[in-house]
Amino acid sequence: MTKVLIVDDERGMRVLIRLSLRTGEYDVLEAEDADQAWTAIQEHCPAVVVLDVQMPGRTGIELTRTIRSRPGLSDTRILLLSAKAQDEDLEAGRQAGADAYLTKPFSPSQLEAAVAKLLRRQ
Amino acid sequence: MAFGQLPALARTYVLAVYAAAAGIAGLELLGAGTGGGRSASTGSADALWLFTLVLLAASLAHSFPVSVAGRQAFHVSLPFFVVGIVLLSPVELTVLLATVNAVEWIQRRMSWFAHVFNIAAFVLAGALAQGVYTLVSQSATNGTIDLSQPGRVLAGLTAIATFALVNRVLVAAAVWMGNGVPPRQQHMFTAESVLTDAILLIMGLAMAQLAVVGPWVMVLGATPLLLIHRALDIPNLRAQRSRDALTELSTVASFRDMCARELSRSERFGRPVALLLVDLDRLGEVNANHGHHVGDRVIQETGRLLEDATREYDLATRVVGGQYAILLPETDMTSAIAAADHMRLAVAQHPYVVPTSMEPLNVTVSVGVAGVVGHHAAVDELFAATQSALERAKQSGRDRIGIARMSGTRVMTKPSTDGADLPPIEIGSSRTGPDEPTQTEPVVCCETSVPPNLPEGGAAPRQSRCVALALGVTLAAAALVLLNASAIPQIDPVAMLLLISFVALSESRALGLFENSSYSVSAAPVLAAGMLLGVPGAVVVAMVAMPIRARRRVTRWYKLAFNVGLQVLAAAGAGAVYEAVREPLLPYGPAFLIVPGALAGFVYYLHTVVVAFAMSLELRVGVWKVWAEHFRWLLPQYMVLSLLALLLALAYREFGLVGALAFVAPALMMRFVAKQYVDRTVGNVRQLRALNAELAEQIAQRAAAEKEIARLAREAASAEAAQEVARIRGELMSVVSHEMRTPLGSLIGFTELLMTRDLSQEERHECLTLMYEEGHRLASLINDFLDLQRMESNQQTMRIEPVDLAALAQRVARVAGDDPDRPIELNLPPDLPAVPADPDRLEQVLLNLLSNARKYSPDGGHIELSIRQVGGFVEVVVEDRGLGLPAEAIPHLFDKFFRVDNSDRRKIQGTGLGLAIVKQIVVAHGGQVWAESDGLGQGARFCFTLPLAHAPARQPPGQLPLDGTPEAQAA
Repeated sequence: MTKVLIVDDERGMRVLIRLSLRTGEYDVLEAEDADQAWTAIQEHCPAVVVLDVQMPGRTGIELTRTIRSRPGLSDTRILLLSAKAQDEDLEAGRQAGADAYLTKPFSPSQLEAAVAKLLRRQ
Repeated sequence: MAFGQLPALARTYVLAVYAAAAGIAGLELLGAGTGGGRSASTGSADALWLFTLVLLAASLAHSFPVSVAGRQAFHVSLPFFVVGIVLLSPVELTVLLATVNAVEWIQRRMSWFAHVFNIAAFVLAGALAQGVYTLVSQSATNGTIDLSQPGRVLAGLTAIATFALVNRVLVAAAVWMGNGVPPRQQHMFTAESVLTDAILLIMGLAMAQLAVVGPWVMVLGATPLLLIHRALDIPNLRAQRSRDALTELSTVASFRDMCARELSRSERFGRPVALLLVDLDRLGEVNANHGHHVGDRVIQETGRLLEDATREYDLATRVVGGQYAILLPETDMTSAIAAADHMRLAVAQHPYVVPTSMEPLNVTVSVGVAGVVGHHAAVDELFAATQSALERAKQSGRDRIGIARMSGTRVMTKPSTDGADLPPIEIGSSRTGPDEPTQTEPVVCCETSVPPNLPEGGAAPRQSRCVALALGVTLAAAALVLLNASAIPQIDPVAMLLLISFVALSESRALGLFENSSYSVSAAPVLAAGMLLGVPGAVVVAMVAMPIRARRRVTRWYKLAFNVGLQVLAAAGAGAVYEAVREPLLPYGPAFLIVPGALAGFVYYLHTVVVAFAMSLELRVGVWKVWAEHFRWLLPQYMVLSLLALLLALAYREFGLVGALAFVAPALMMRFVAKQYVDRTVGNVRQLRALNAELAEQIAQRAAAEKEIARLAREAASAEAAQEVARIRGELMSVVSHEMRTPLGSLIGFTELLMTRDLSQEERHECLTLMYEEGHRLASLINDFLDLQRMESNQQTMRIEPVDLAALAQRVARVAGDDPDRPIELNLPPDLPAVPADPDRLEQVLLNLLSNARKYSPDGGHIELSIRQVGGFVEVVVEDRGLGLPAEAIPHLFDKFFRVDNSDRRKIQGTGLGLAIVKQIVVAHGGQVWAESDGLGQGARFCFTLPLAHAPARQPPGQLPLDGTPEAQAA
């Protein structure tokens, strides 16, 4: 089963993302911040990381760079979530090595489609 | 400089001049030996007498040179040299020139060669001038020695031109060669220098003519030289004055000047004037205990305090050390004492903060007060009286006021602070207003000056008296003219024309003093007319002067008539006196004519009394005061003018027209003398007036500028404010939209899940719980936001009533509910006063702070709510033992949407508006709110105060609609 890691500091958002991904198709892991997420990534090697950009501590973009700096994790797909739809955030995410970008608020189907698309590319 | 140091060329030149002068002198001696002398017209005894007289006079005159800028000196001995050129033999002239310069040598002690050179240059110039004179006069007059001949005058003029030119060229060349100063840059060739010398030389010519009449008459003619000497010296005196103005002393000097002026004004107009001497008590102790820099500071600060305490037209100056003199114009003793006590209190109540003492110094002053009302007092008297009053104040214990009535001194007991035993201190009301600038000036008028304009309106009786006076004078003058009408056609037309031209010239060159007065030397021709042509001539000449003057100014008809009439009467009187006194004195020789001349001048001068009377009618001031102020100074002027008139008359009688002409120049010179005098005395007033005007203009300009600045500032401020509002609004909108979109997005997402997905019961429950939370969050966000918005735009209505804070705190603690890990402890004193407040809003504040305290104490801990009274305020503190606050966050805690950003409080939900609302409410109550924390993990204290008397200090009353409470009505 495909492992998906959800990283968001808001519980409501994590629940929404988790429920958006159909049960049975994905093995969903959750993390509250970048540090927890990094531990989980190293442990579980998720295929997809759904990553909130704005978090206390390390931001999603910083975590993206960390992931990309690891050679063994080059296959990990990263979907960035941000409330800011500005170009510079998008650009920063692309440069850091994110694969896709989704602006909040999003619908569950949008998210599901985005994750599915990332996995198809794999 | 020694002779050897001169350039070779200069040495050669100087030696050549020596040789030439020596050669000339030798030739002259030879000529004298062969009897070729020229002073043949007079007997040898007379010639010796004349020579001695000229030598003495020239030496005397030469001993008082007037040094002016550019190391140049004018010598009034110059006219005597001309006398020598015209009348003495060549040898005598050489001796004269050599002797006079030798006198200078003794006095000034320059290098020997310079003196010798001066002598040589003079001798050469004199010899050449004499040669030219002899040549021209002989060829033009065929040897006759009649000085009235125009040819002789031509010869004289040529001779003096030669003399001046040769002397100047010789000296200029020497200066050029010796010092390298080209002639262009030498002051010798400036217009002023040439003109001065020309006038002096022409006077010499006139004196030479008089010397033919008799040596003593020549001495008489020399008197104008004294005036010229004075006129030349006046610019130096002025320069000295302005030099002194730079020193500290002159401040006091100018202050004394002002005092003198105010005193004379006070005397003239019967107005009060007062002088204060303010002296720092125990300045020596301050200096000894704290050092001189502190003493200086005390002096400076006291000066500032005193300046603040004075009115703008008071004049303050530091006399010495810690002593100040303050002149209070237009201030009677009562007001002056009030002012003095005002100053005393200002200093006594002022804390002098100094670096050498923790406590501000207590400084006191003693004040001496003296005043004058309308009687004569000298500046020194006033100062002395004030000084003794000050001393008495010091002796009787300092920090008090001593009062001197100009006769005797008494010391007042120390006035109580409220001034109970003083006349009420009402600055601005008990004192008279600022004096009118027109009255402060000593208006210098003279001669037949037109009296100043009549006051407009309400002065009809006075005006009619003026008109009556004018009519009387005019009628008398007209009668006089009619009486002499028959004699007028017999007057010598040449003399008449000369004198009328002279009058016209002097009147058209009259010095304007102030608006309504002027000075001219027309008295000289008018008096000369009386002496030369008798009463009829004087009447005619006097009549001419006034229309010329009137053309220069617009004036009332009766004033013109008055002036013409008075001048006619004065001239006729002077002429009659001269005639009457002259007859018996004639046999004693022309020198005795000085007596009738002076008498005539005096009689003419008396007409100023009538002018003063006319002015006194207008100014409503005593005749004597007006006369003393405006005309007394003119007496010497009139004496000299009458002397000149006498010389003019004599010269005309003896030598005809040309002889008289030579005396016009010195008479016109008098204008220059008077101008200097007027410039000096009246200049101050003019300067003051100009300064005043400038000041007024500056004030007006400044006011306009300030208005403009204010307008621009308002515009800029409103533009800036609009921008700021737009910026804040934009920022707010982005924050709000984000804060609202997030929960809204979640709600929509969950709804979609519920609608489209087949969720388990648990998942469904999870969804709904989160939806409820998000919805709740959204709702509270909107509520808070709208609350804040209302409060910020002052639309929130507050219901102020007396609130029992203790009861409120207990209720809020109940509402907040139980939380065993975070219990709320109330710390309430028993006797808390009721606070005027809106209880609902206050509850909101307390709930907010308590819930914050609980929220940010994730690991539990006591929450303490304390209320206590501090002065006129009640202070409420909510203290927790939770996460604490980073120092850098504290200033921003009460900003909208500010959240302390770190991971341990990220899970804590909040709108970011709670503390902003708290602040709004507390400030609307007139209180203050702040937060304290000892750092992260150390807990936090949120404190606010509420005033016990409701005073929304920082809110304009109109912005806080208050409902019917007593406090509200009081406010």
